[in-house]
Amino acid sequence: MDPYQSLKQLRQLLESKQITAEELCRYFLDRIAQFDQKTNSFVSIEPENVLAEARRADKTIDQGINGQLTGIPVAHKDNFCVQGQQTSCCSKLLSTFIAPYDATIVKNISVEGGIYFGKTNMDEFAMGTSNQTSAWGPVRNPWDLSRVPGGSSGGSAAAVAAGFVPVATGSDTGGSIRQPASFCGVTGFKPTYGRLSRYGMIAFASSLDQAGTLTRTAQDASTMFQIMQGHDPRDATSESSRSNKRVSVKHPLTIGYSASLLNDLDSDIIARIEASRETLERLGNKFEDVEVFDQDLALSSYYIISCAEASSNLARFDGIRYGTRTKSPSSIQELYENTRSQGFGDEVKRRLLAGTYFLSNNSPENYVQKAQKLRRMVYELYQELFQKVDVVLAPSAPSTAFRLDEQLDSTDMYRQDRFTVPVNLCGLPAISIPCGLVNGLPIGMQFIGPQYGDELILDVAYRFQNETSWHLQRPRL
Amino acid sequence: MSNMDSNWEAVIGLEVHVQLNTRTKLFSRTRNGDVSAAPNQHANLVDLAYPGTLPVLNQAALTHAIRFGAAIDGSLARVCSFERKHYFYPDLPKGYQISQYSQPIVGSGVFSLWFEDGHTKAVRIRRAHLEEDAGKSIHDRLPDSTVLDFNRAGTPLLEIVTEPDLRTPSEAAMFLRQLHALVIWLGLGSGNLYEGAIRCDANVSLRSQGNNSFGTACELKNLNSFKFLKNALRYEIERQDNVLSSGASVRRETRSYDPMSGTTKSIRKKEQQREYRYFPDPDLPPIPISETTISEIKTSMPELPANVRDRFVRNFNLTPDKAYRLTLEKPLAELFEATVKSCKDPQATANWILGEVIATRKRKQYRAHDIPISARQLSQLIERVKGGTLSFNAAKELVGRLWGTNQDLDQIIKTHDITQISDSDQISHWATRVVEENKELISKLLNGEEKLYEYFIGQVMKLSHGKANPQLVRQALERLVSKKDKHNSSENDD
Repeated sequence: MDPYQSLKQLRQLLESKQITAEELCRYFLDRIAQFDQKTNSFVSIEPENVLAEARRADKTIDQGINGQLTGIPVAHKDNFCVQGQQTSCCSKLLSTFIAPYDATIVKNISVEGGIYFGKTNMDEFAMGTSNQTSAWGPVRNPWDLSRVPGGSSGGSAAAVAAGFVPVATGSDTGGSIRQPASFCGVTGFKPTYGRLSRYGMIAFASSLDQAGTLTRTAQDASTMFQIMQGHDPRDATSESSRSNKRVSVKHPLTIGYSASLLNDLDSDIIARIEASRETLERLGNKFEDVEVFDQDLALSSYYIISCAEASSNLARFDGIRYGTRTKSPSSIQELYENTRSQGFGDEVKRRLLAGTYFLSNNSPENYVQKAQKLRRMVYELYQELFQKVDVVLAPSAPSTAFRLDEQLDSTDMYRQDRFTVPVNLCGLPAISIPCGLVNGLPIGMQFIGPQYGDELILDVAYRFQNETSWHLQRPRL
Repeated sequence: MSNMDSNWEAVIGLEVHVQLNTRTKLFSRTRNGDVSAAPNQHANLVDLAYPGTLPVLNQAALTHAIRFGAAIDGSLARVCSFERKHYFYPDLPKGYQISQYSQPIVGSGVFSLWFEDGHTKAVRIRRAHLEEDAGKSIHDRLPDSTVLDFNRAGTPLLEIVTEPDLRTPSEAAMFLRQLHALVIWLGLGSGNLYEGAIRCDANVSLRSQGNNSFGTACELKNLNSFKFLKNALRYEIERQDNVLSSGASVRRETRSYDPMSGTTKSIRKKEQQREYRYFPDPDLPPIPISETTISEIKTSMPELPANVRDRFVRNFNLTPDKAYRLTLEKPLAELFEATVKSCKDPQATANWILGEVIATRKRKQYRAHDIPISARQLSQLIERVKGGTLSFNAAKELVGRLWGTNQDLDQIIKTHDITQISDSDQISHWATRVVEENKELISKLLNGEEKLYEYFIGQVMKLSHGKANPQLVRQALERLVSKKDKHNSSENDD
């Protein structure tokens, strides 16, 4: 049994009864039991439930009424609510929280027969780029256990890279799918804001958060996307079902590319991206030089807005209705203070304090309003850019995975996101795919599409993967 | 009241929270407004702010707000947007309240305040915006702990803010009463003050007469009846008067009113105003409101009470006061118009409605706006009284009998045998009998004790079991008495 098979291959195996869903799930469970103490990519997994679900899947396969994912394991990042399951956002504050309902995308996946395989590790409340802020301990990169997997969807990226599951969900607020995809050598897809429902995905920064997937291939990302997407009446920001804004798929493309963007990158990384560019040209695509927005300004805008929204979204964690409440407080004030200071980790506290500060001045020129102005400028720049080019090619991360013991300060950590945040500020779709190995570590690049150009970037990523084999590279565990 | 003769003028503005009677809550699909529900029966995951849940606007609440805006000729926003207002409180589940801050759905408008003598005063409305209600913290259910009921959490509120255009406590109370009437007239809310469906805060300051600038205002919280509003303002104006007259200055603060003692006390200095950290709610993208939507809502509006009132005065020659009282409730005004249409007697109809109909409702402890008597029943009743086949007293009693039934008036009259007797032979027979049995009283009556007529009429009515037409009884008695008088004088002549 090969743990790195595509969804299509697994489906064929199941439908032709070369393997039962129970056998398949048992295989992946065994693999996790054997190797996950090395990577720590799962935070909760209930083998008995998985196997019971697999046996039900076998029945539906026997009856010939299977869905697109029947019998296939799917792991969820720990910020997606799964009914009856621990949903902690890898925070001490929610360590005892059992979700009473399914997130919309979780439901969409289970309707197609996907087997809930457990929760993957993440940075606490999705705040981080190294998966070191998790209350359940850091995740280690399957390519090199002394290195981080990236974050915040580090558990999902590591789990797919390690062949624990063929697909895992993730969430991307400022690069939280794409940067770990780059570090772990997998395909990370962040759709257009609104195309996947946010209902049941525990909010970090509502205007930036977008669910997505970590998969082996763009083709698998596309399959998952078709299953997960669609209008959700429970999410007012979800795309209307009558929307006709879709950008149609075409080939060849005019691809925007900014050489100046690569200036401060390692020469080996630049070489990998340049080589990919040649591959894309060979496929018939044309490249055009474009100017992109000042990265540090976009980054400031992103951190101000995301921290401000986080300080508001996380206000509900007060210990009153759910979550871990502090023991015997003497006043309501003390209940709040102790619950929150004992429950939240340092990075979350840092961002909540900053966000509260950013919002605290109601003068017309406060931080958040300035940041929103910058955000509009970034948005307009991309609007203009997509008048000239079909998609943009950019690095996914400024480096390969760094070591766990590397002492990065907050600002260095935040600068990890500089290639990814403009996409979130503008609500654009982007997909990170592996484009090489540098000193034995994977590195990714991303295609950024115009709004509703999801299918377009999935297609170009698929064509690239047809020509290359970087996405097929595997770590040795 | 000391301020009446003092040099100070009161300046009052109100903030009124109206609970809207939509079927579901402002941002969730939970049932709204079921006051009889067990605690937390109507609180779903969205209302309780469970992680991952999101708000979705209830369009009906938006329509309600636009209806109110149209009624006060307010400017209407063309985009409906919401902000988050942050503060920590156990009955505020999200740690913020979703409200409208920078762009209220209704901008400046005018409320025409009506006075008994028929004149009106324009009270400017600064804004009216949508927001969600909080849950309830209950401190007296358990010893040593507070319990929470989230049924109310997420109930849509329309917060209506006036300009400081009111000048006296009774003017403020009149305004609240008429606003309350308008809210119910438009079908926006139950208006039940006891249940907190309309809640009022007042800002009040004093300034010297003739001065156009404003003094330092205090905010009075939770004045949830017309009487409390009036009394709280009276107390507060007197208090500020004393402070200012002693040469001291009024502190800007929030005060609460205690209806038991009739006093206000400081609860928080305004300098300690909380920082609410407003920002646009990213979960609720602004919704454009089209001209079509607005004109559809405007077309569906009922005729406004002020119009109806003026029309009643103009077309039916009612006094302004009667027209006002009839238009405090839409069902009363509708009953009036429908009744007049068939009985053609506006004065009698107004008197019957404002008299016996309202009295019966009070006696039967019906809620305001419940008037289970039909225009057909009432106009028949008025016609029978005028035609003389129904006595006034019997008619009054009949209002009670008709209450809540859909019975035909004539049918009831027949079944209960209460047709008025206007047969003059029968009546003079009874009258003669009463006169014969009370000879001494007759001589007193003849000696000028005219009041005794009432006694004789009463005796005849008794004999007729209340069914004799009292007017005919009086006439019969007068005839008999004048005969006696002639008889006496002819005797004396002998």
